[in-house]
Amino acid sequence: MQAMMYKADFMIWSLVTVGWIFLNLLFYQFLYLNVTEIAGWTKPQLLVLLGFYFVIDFFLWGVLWQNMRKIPEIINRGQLDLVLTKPVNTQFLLSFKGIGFDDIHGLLIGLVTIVYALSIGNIKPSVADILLSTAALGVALVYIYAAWFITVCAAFWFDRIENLHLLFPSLRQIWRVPQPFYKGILQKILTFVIPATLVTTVPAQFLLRKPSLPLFITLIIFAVVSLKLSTWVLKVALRHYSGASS
Amino acid sequence: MKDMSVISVRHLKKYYRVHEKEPGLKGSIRSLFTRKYTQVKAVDNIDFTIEEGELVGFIGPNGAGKTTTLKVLSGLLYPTSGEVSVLGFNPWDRKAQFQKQFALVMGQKNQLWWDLPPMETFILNKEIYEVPEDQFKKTLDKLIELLDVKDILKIQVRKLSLGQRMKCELIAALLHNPKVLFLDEPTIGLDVVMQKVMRDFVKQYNRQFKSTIILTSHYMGDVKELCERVIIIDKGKILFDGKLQNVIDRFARNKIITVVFSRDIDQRKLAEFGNIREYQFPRAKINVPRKDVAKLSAKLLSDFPVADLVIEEAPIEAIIREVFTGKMKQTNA
Amino acid sequence: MRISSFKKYFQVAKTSWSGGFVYRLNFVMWRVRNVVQLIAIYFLWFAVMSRNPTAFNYSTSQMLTYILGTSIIRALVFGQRSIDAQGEISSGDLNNYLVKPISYFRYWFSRDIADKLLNILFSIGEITILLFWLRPEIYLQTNPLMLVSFLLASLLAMVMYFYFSFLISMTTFWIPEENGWPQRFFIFVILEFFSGGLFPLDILPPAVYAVLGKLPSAYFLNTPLQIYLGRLDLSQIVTSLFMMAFWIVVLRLLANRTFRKGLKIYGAYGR
Repeated sequence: MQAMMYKADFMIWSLVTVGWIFLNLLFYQFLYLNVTEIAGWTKPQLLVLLGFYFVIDFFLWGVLWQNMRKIPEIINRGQLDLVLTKPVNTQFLLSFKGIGFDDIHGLLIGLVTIVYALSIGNIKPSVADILLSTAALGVALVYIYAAWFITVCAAFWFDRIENLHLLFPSLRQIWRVPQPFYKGILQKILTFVIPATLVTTVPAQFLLRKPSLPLFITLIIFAVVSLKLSTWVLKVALRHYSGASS
Repeated sequence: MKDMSVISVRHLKKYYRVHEKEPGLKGSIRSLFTRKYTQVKAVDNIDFTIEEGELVGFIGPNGAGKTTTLKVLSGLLYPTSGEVSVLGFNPWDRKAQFQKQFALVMGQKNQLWWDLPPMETFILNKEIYEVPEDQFKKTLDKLIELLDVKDILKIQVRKLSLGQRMKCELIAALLHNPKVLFLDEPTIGLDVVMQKVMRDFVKQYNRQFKSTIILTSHYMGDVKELCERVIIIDKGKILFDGKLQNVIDRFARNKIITVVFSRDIDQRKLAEFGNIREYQFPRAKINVPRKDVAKLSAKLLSDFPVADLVIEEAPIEAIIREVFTGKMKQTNA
Repeated sequence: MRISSFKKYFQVAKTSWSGGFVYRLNFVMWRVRNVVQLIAIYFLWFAVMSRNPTAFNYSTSQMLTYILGTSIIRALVFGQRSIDAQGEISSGDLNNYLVKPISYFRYWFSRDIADKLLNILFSIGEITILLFWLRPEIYLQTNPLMLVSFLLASLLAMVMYFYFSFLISMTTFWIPEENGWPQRFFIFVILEFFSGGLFPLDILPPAVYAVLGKLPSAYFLNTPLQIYLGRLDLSQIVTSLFMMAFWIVVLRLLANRTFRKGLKIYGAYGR
């Protein structure tokens, strides 16, 4: 919302975002000029994944970002009391106050990419596939929100880590690539310890009619656990905060 | 060999061609292509000279041209026209030889590295200014003593209080023994105690190191405490250049009589004497025209039951404020 | 530079180095971000090459070496410290340096060097760990001429990028909004695709490569790594090195001019 205030600034940032998306798409196009499939993934399939990547990016930067960015600030500048005294759930306030939809073109282009990829790949997901895919996306977003929130709460214990709010988002490079591309222990870690790979792969797999139930269940478990954990971490953090407060 | 003043400014003009800019990113980019210029006369033909060892105060309201003048003197801005010479150099050339001999301290802009102890910045400055090791030690020790900061030198700057930080900023600026010191709003944001510390230090430094100091401020307290000579600037022009005392003599219309009454009095009768600034029995403060002070004092003593009577100058703040708002004309008091 | 001048900038680097250690957590986070990106791109290319071992005219070892190599070359060329200059200019802290007998460019270069050193050390450590863990086939260049050219190209790229990046920082003289980050992000995006960080540039269709390969961005990562992999013949190497030297001269001139111009308008907005 605040980005919308300066319409022109918004346009310029949009240009940067759109440019970046466009270059990403070009890159994948070029990749497939020379090969027809990468580890079993055709171009349409990979583009579907990429589409989800864009959609999630929108969610990261356009929806959650403003708030996540401010949380360490609020904590370190002693503004937390203002939040605590409000009669609204603290976690909710911290996470979603003043939420807006900046960079919505990311969302649109992401969706268009998915639709486009499905059509050129002649992939026709059923209604059930679409519903499951959307549900999986929702679960993924819950996980992302919760995990990001937890990492940002580290500000309660470690002051002055610049860019703490950028730690979790750095994982997004991981889900730019399908889960099966990763090999060995690293794949296990990125699937079952920090399920970054699942965030795009699981929703994509439903649309691509190659679902993997175990992965979906893993993602759901992580989403639920992380959400509960995020509430618990906040509680502990607040106790620490008021204990140590000056 | 002091045939030339340390600082000499003649017919200095600094005009800005400011283009109006819409706020925000779009405004900046658009202004790269089309511009609407207006001219701002930040400094409009000023002259002054300053001799070695003087401690001069520049006072004026915000936007008067004080900071602009300092920036020209330190080489940050080039003059639109006029001649400026500091220690024999043209500041805008920014010759290393020149820079090694002066220091600029700006109240709000810090030079200490935030995440390191002040000592690290001191050492860095030592190298930048190419200060010999023994001179460095001597100066540093003296400054540390003057400012009483021995214990905090190894603590990260970001953990220091504002007062401690300001002290270290001063040390960092003075390590190379500058002959000329420019202080821009040095006490801004400091509490009363720190302000006094700062002023005492500046006075002592001026005396001990015989450096030439110009300080700008809009706190009269700074100027009253420190500066014998004061330059009043407003709208880019010098309104007054001379002893602070003379400001009063030249510009003050009134004096203030403070009376303490021993018995109740008729306030209306009191009002005939002059403009009553304050009245809270048994005390009253009255503004009276300078030339009538003696006469009116005598009349007060005879007409009223007076326990005590004091005659003072109007506070210099008020005088200067009135100078700026143009209410003042020079009187022949 | 006289000895006393050198001491000056050496001290800047030293102070910058100690500053770097203070927030270890910050720095570790930065390295984490770098490693994460490396892993993702590595596995992307690993997947590409796994069933197409000679895709894009690259052997698997060459491609994987390229990708892993970007990490180290990035640390050398893309130093991050001097980006802080844009904030200094935007906020007015630049004044602190203008009154001192120190060259602003050299000051930031010295700070960059300290930062690059730290990053290179970490990058080498990370790559070593990854090599032991993933055990990819690596292309080891043995031709001494190639190695020397590679080193030279890397250093030239480093200097080239310094001036290039500084020019971006200096846009804050005219466009100070948000401390110069909009234009900086714009450049980041361009560099991500056109410098050879995501992929070697010669995988692009020849028509495209003909243009992109001549842009200054191509010299930052792509050129040094191509030289290392022995994919450029001697005449191409010489040409590249000359081009980079040429770009350094041009960019340096531009940077100096821009700085002088920027200073002239600097005071106008009360900074």
